[in-house]
Amino acid sequence: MTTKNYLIACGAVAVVTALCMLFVPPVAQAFEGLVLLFLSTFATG
Amino acid sequence: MKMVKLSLQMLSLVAIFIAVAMATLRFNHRNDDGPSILFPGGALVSGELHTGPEPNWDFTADVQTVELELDDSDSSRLIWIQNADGKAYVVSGYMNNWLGRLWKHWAVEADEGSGRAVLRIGDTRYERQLVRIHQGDELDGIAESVIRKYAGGNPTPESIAGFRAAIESGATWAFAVLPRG
Repeated sequence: MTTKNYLIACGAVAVVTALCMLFVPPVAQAFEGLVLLFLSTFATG
Repeated sequence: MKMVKLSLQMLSLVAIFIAVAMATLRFNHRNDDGPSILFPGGALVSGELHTGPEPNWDFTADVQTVELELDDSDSSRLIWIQNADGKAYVVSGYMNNWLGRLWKHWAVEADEGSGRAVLRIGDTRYERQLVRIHQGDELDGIAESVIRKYAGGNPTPESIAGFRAAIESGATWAFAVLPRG
């Protein structure tokens, strides 16, 4: 990927991610569930 | 070389996705009525406000986490709770480095601010005052409660002494959860 395209991709990923988390609740809930699953899998003690 | 560059670019896009998602969700939850497991929330507004006599806090022996709101910042989070001799306490570890103090910023706020807080356990809110305890024999009760509930359940004199030493050294901060004066 060229540097210009890479920076455009970074911006697009950031914007789309933020909009999805704010306005698409199932996506936000699914992401939170995945994070919880990851943390509970690797938690110690 | 091209493949390495492309792989690094893909990894960085994944990292951006995760970072933006976490930051956006934290922003979105900032005014919720109470915290979630992952993110701090806003002021604790629902639930009956306790106005009766001071309870015996030993009932919290069966409570794993409580919601704590600090009046100074109107933010709330889930934390552990300890009990000893009918009184309630909260502790915060990792306080001996800047990263720990950043992560457990609520403890710094409580210590440097007014200490006024609201605790929500179930559907009941308790208006409280957090007062930091630096030393004294009540630290033994706090240590025993932490070890019994959250660290394997088998407090020994050595483990209690070790935890007490951590509080006295400032690595762990302990607060008494007192009625507002």
